[in-house]
Amino acid sequence: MDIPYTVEVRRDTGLNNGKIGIWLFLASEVMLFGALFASYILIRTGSPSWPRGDTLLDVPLATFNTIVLITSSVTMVMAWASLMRRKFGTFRIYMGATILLGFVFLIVKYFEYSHHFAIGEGPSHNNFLAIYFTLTGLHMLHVFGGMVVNAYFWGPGAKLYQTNPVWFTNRVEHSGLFWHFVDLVWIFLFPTLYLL
Amino acid sequence: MSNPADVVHAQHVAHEAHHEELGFWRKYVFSTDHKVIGIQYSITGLLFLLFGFSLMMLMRWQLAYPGVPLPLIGGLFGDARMPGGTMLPEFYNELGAMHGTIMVFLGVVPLAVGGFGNFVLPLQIGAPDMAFPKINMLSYWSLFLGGMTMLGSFFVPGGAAQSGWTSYAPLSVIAGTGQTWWLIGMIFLITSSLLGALNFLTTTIQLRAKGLTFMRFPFFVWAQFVTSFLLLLAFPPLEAAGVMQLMDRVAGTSFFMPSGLIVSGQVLANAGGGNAVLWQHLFWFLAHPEVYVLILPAMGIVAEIIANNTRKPLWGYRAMVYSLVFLGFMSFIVWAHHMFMTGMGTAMAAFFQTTTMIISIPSVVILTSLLLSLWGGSIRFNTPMLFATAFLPMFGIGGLTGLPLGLNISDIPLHDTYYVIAHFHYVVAPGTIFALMAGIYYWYPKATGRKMNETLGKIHFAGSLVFMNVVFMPMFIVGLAGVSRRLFDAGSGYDFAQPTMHWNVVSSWGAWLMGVFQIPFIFNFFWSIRNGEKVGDNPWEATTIEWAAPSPPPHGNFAVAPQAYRGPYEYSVPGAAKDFTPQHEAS
Amino acid sequence: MRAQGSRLCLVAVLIAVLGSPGVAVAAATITGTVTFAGKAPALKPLAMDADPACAKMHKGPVPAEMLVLGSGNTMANIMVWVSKGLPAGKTYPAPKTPVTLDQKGCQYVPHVMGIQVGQAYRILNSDGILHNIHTLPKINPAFNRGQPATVKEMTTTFAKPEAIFQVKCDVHPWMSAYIGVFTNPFYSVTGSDGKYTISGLDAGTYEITAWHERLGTQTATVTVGASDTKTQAFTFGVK
Repeated sequence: MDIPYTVEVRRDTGLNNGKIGIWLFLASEVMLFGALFASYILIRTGSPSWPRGDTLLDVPLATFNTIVLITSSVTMVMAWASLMRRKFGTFRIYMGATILLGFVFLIVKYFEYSHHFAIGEGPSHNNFLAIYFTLTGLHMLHVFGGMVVNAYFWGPGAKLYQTNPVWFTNRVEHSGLFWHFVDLVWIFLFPTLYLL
Repeated sequence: MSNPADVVHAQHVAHEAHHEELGFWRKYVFSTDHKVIGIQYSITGLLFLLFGFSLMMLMRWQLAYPGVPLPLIGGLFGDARMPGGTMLPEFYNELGAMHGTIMVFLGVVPLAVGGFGNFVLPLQIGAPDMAFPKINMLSYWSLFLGGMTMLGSFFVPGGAAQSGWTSYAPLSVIAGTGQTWWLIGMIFLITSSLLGALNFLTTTIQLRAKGLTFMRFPFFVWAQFVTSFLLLLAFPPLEAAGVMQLMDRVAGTSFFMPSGLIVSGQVLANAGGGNAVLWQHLFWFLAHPEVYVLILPAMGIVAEIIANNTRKPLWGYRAMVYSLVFLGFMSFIVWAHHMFMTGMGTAMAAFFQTTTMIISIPSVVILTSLLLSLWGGSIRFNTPMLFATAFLPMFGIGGLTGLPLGLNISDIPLHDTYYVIAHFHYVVAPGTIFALMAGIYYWYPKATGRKMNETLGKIHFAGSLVFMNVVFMPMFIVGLAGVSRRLFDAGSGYDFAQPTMHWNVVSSWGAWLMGVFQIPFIFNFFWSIRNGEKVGDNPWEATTIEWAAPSPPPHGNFAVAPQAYRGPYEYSVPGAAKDFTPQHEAS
Repeated sequence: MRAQGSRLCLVAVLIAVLGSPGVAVAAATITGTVTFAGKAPALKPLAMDADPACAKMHKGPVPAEMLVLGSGNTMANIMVWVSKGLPAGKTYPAPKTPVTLDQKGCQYVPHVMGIQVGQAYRILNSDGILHNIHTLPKINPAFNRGQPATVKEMTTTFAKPEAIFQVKCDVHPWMSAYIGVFTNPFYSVTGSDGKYTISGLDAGTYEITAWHERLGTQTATVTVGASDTKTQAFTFGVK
């Protein structure tokens, strides 16, 4: 038994199942991060003093990380575009680059975190660091999750390309949508935490 | 072979010959078939309902006879919980918190959304399965893990969560280990609901049969559709709140911990600066839509059964659908009416009072439409219909007693009393659970090919109806007398509670007798699997598409994809040959 | 013959026990009196009007428990214990008899107590009203449990040694007691005569500490020989 509209598009909605699924999932993710941002605003406005992000955090490193993530979004699009043009070899290169850039992001983050812990500024230090660790930690989990999915499409999942290239391309597109969302969250996080 | 259902059936028989056989584990345990998953959800939900009910029956002993050792089984709970059979306040708190959590998140939601949604919704829209069968399986097993975490938390040192099902901070942050388990369990349950919700939405949008436009949806499908949106968008804020509370508990942050908090005469050594009310905002931002998650599927079930058993179209179907959508939307902007006690400003209170009054309108529209649907019908009073009709006044009592709670000025004296308990239990227990019972009796033939026993069903119904009211009506009296709803001894230490103490005894005996009247149901449920009256595909002579599939439907449901030719409730159409014209029948 | 034989055995064992240096030497005692120097401050009586059930149990005002003096300004509720000098590695089994904390007249009796690791801690509710026992330790897990009117007795233990910490009732905020958890039996709490006695020590030099809930700690070093009895007085005062 096959589920209809897994690959092909339903005519009256103009979408396949996966795309609706991923957009709905992203909607719930917006609510998740939205709630955290709202909490951030509430805690910050309710607090008598609030440190500026750049006094506690490393802005140049984060800027570098921002560039890394934006670049990875570009390579992600390129990976999907290569599949659309049925160039599997270039897809592998771009997808590999996306995963690698994700790694770079996590490694930089690791250095940031370990620096904070080394000087005793853990999440319990103050509420700024509490929200910083919570937001960036949750974001890192998302980066990691996206990398796992991308790695699957780069490696074992790519077998699908041989049998059903359209379906595979769709899947990469959906994973790309998630990756862009993760990127977007960071683009909100960076100014909110590091600059404001 | 003029009936398309027969055609479908015959083709199915031919189809079955080359159907691949799955092993036991893949077929019944790690199944991706929406019907098996639906049944798994239902059984899990029913078991948790029974478990949650048992917790409550223990609490009722303590409330009726505070301080008296529990006979027979009192010794089973150990000296840490019930020394000599007398309940300690901490154990009462454990029971209270876990009763709420289990009934809402592990009982009603899995049964109403996971169970009925999974089993009925794809059939009703003529789909072969859910859009994402593997995610569907994942959703069930995530619920299962969440349930096991909650159950496991009873065995950690200090016992399960004791801060109420609402887990208000800062109490929940300084509480024992059970609360951490509660949070982890909740994260599993939230994941389950999110996966389920996006699956339902995608399935409804994409996999509905040809010709089944949105305004031809059975009301049940609409109810599940709106419910799924609520789950999808309301649960993530609770997830965020859960993560923050977990951080507060484990990493020592102070999201919900104000500065200078004094516990037992000692100032807590955390950074402070947090906001305890923030937890309430995030919690109720979920939990108010959650109220509609509990009630909307119930309304959907009742609408199906009323249309079927009055042999009439639903009165005001369109108005009901619009009300439903409006209700779903409004449910996101009323949450703070649970929080008048936090001392919010008048401007904010005025806003939330207004939205609360507005949201009562669509609920009344739906309830009134259902009531008017009875008008002039030739009603068949079978067990599902009895439960469905009882739903109307019971939910009515629950809804109307909620109005004083939606207004700041009358909420403040009532909020922390038993009045609130009575109000929301009238909505959920004789309301939602009656509808769920109706649904079980109604769709049981679809799942098993046999009807449940009617006599046992009617005994179950009569006993449940009487004793539901015996349980909850006295709570209004106790509540109006001003007795707080959080006292482990029902207020036996306070003079003002004395005049109403005897009502607790009435209420408790009502609860235990209601428990007794669930025995016919439990027996009926299992007995009918083998011994119930054998029925065909459409025993209730219903119009919706799920009755076109064989009973029980095979993997893949329909051999030929059905098509919808008309609206969902074409009963007693003037000039038609029979008193029902199925949606899937070409004219 | 058999009976006589076993009696002989018993005598032999007794001789062996008494003759062995470990036990024979462990007979040293440190004792003394704790007194209060200066003029005793007037303390406000406990305010029990928050719970009429408690106030009813007392005829007059209930004196504060923070400073209890006997005749001659001897101080009660002083914990004295051996803080240094005990042989390393020697373990002392927990006594079988429990330490009892009673809740009587909405007060904890006794006000200060010591307990050994693993020794049963028996909590009684003589009042027959709802109490709550909330220990506030730093090392051991907190014990925080309500004791309803009809529950007369609860028991717990402490798994780790810990410096003196407070025990409170979350229902009646004036209720307060202190407990220290020790690995050995060498502690003592003074009564209103101000007397403490630590006995059964080996010969050696010890540091002993005296503690009062508000006036802090004082230490003294005492050297005892086998079966000596040394006196060490302490004096607390308000500065």
